Amino acid sequence: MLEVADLVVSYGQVRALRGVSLRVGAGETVCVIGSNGAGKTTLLRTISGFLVPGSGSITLDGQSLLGAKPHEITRRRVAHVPEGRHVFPDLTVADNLRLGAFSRRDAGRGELAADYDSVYELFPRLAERRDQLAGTMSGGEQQMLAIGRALMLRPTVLMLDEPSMGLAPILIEEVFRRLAELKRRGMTMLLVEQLAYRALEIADHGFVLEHGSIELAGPAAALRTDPRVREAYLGGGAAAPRA
Amino acid sequence: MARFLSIWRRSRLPLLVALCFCVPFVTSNEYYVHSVLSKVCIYTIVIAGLDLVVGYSGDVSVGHAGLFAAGAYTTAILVWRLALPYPLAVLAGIAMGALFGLLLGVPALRLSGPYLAVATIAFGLIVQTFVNEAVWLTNGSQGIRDIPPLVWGRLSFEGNNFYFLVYPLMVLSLLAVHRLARSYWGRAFEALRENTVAAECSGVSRYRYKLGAFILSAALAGLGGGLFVHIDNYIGPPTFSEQLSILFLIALIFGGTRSIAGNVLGTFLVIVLPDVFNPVTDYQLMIFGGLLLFTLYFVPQGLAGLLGAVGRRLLAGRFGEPPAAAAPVPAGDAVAVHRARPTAGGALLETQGLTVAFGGLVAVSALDLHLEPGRVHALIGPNGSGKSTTVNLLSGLYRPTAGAIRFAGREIGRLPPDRVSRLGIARTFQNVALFGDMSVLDNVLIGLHHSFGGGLLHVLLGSGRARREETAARARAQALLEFVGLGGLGGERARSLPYGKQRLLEIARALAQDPALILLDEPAAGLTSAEIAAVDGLIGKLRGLGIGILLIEHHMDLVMSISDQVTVLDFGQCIAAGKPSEVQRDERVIAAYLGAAAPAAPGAPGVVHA
Amino acid sequence: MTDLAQLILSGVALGMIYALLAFGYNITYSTSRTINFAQGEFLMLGALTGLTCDVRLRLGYLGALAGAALVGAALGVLLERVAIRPALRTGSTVAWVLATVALAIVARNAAERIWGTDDTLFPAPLGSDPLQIGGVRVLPQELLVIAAAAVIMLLVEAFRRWSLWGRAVTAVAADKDAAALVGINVPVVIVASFVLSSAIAAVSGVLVAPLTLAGPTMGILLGTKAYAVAIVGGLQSGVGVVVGGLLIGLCEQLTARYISTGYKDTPGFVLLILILLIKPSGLFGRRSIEKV
Repeated sequence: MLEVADLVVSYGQVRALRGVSLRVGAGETVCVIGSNGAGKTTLLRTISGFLVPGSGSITLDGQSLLGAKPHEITRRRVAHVPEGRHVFPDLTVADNLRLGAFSRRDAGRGELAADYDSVYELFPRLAERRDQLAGTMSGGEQQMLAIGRALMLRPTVLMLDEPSMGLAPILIEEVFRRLAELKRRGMTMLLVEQLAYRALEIADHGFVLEHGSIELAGPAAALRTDPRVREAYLGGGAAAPRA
Repeated sequence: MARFLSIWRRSRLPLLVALCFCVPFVTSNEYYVHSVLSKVCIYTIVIAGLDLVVGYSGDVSVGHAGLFAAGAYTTAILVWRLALPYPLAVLAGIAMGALFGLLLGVPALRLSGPYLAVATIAFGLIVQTFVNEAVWLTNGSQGIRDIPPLVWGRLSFEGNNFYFLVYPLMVLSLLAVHRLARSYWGRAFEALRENTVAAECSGVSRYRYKLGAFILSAALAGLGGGLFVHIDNYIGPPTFSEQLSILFLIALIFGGTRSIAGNVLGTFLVIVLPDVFNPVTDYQLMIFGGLLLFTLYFVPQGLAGLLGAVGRRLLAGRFGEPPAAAAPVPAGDAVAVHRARPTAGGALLETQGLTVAFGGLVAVSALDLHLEPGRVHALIGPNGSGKSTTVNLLSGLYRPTAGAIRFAGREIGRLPPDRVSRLGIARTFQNVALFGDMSVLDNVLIGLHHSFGGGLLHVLLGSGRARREETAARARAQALLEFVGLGGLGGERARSLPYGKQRLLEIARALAQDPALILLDEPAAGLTSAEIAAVDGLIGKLRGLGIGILLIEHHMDLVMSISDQVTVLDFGQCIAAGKPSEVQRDERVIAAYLGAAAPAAPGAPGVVHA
Repeated sequence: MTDLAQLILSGVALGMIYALLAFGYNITYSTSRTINFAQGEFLMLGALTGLTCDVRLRLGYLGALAGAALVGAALGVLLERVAIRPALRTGSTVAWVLATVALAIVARNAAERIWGTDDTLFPAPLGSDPLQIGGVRVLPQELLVIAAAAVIMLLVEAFRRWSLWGRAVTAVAADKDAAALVGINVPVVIVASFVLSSAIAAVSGVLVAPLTLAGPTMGILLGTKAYAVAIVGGLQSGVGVVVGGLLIGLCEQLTARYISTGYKDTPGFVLLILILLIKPSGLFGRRSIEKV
């Protein structure tokens, strides 16, 4: 469904992505993991149209996304929950969600209401705070709002950039439970995460990105037990973990 | 031929200057000499001063007419009401201008961009209103008419002879600005303009230099004002309007910022153009506005920049080689002399319970660090764990909310970044923070800012001390470049260096500050493995000099190979500390990075190594 | 006592005009982080266009308002394309300051060519005889200005708060990238904000002209005072702009009466400098934290 092939992206002289390829099939959850500076955010920002690749291709159902502006890519129903959440702080929860559906010209009253309901059902905490200003909510609530806002698009592909960042472990737990629920409902997801094991728990496939290249790839179940994943983060030569 | 060329090159400027002085001997056209050329001289003084603020220092001022007015009115009032001798009155005008410059400069430290622009407009308007209303002092809207002619015995500076007074003053002012720009002051202005944070962390005090730029600029405007009094022997409020401030800016942009030739050219254009456009005088302003827009977008370097580029190309074509690049600098003994400072006891830097909170968010919580000279201490942790925040705390960019930072026994938590640098802590930045438009050598010279003891006066006079310090600093900078492996690149623009070399340059700049401790913020980010090896080697050399190093890194191989001690942060708290190999195996560290404890079973089929 | 009441009313009317202009600054600052130094000239062009529509083309006062709004909208597009967009690309503050100033210069000269350099009387739609309300003499135009300004600002605020596009503007002002990610065409929103701001400035010209005179230089001081209002009230706050306008309008009238007419224009700038020194984000502005 979403396919990236030999993507090369540079910031000035720095090669942030050195020929990255991956596929996300319909209904699949694919995770891209790696430590900081690996290029994960660069990957999502390129798919979303903020960055122009030096070479390579990005296709959605066979149609190229290259050269499209970010708002145009959103209109193609590719939703992107950015790193750091970026909710609109001076607007209420309800308004933030409404803007999530901004590009859906077709949405009638009834359809929107149904969408609100499904988001509120998935994130009951948002329902409680629908008239609260987004800027006054906690990090975890903002993360849920950001995901809910993306869902209002009725996306065909949902991309998430480090949903765990800055969240306390309990909240990370909650967020990932919701993501698992979304997966169960058949959502196609591209999940970029630093917390490798969390991501691998809910993904079907995994790609390990290190310094701009894919170092490891395979079924999530296999990666979960592969010691090279840990080495990608903490360096080689590590002996067996010690309590 | 070469000999002749070099004599010609060195004497052509003084020849030109002398020739221009003689204009009134060639023509006695009063309009041309007095109304145009003398005015050009006076305005050029103001615009050269404006260039210090707008061009070098990067601050917008749309209120220089107010400073000009301060000088003009002070001089006029003293001459008219108190019959003070003209030279003294002009000195007073300069002083008053400087005072007003101080008043204007203080808000400039706290404001930027649009806010500063509006503040300067308001300043100009207030001055103009005051001058119009305070009839008891300034004679209000009537202006000051009774300015005695400038005659001393048989020497008269009236009419065309006024040129003989203002022209040399213009030349001296331009010389002063030129010397300032070429000195450590000029470099300080440019560094603060390009990257204020990096400049401060390299030891340049924002307050002193930003304020200094305003005061010097205002002093020049005051001088211009004092001289302006004798153009018509009359001054009145309508002259010192916002329009005049805008005219000054236009002259600066037309001519090109950061260039004294540009200052002269731009001023000349702005004064002469209205006459050139006389036939279409009704459309004059429109043409001006159009020219301004054109210059802003298509000729941003101004006329001087354009002519310079064309001239360089012509010369290269004519004589087969471009004008000589800066002469190579002989390297001094860079590093041996500047060993890390001795510290009290074993600890170089210690933090106790270091905490910082932004609003309700605690970014760093109760951190205890113990850094020793000649050792590499790594600070690692997942994204958002507080590593960069810690470096910002240690370098003085953030103030701790609680806890203490002690460097060589001294509490430094509340010191500004330039003080911290001068005490002996230098740093590099996660996203390379070089001064891109400055040369590689100049970037290192900023790090050597602390070595210039001769003050402003030495710089302006071009004294022996100023020259010696400059030569010594250049030699030292060259040696530092060789130390980090950038020996032949001193003349290149910092921006044009490959990324890996930019990181080395940042380290050279840090080393120039004679630090006892260097904070390296992700020095290996974005580098190839060869470049990382170079950084690895360089860190080893630094350690060999007895400098303490705090290393923030994500390249675990580098961390593991070079660190003596490692501290791991998560959510702003220390979750593990110890030797690299211990930390690598610590369950809590693995959980922090990867989200959970590593499962027990080793490799399984199906995984592809890409 | 009635004297004071009269002063207050005039101060309020004047203040509302400042507020309208500053409102325009607020709209464009929030989306582009620039201040339009040609705003006063847009007011002037609106007034003169309105004069032509009213007197020459006999379209009446409403025709004047409509004509001014159209011209203002066109000016907004021109401003964004010619001055703001290219200047922002160069990245320096001096660039857009001088670019908008250049446009102002061109606008003033063009106005002189088209309408001549003299100031002209603008016919007041409700007559120029003062009314007597509770013993206070007030010009009908002053009441019209207060009412019209209030209506315009309320409409724009309502639009901002309750319509989808209005909320899109708030989103763009807060976070351009996030706005693009929800499908908002950010460049279009920025142009729209300039169109709105300039149209409002032009309409203010038609509102204030019957109270003063219409001429090419009428916008200079008004535009400058409006910066003071915008910054004193808070460049990012709609309410702040109104409060700032009223505050400065009142101060000016009181100063003119009780101190001296010559210093009439000063209180605004003194207040400006005070605010910049004490709380640069303005009376109603929010402090922003800059992270390294």
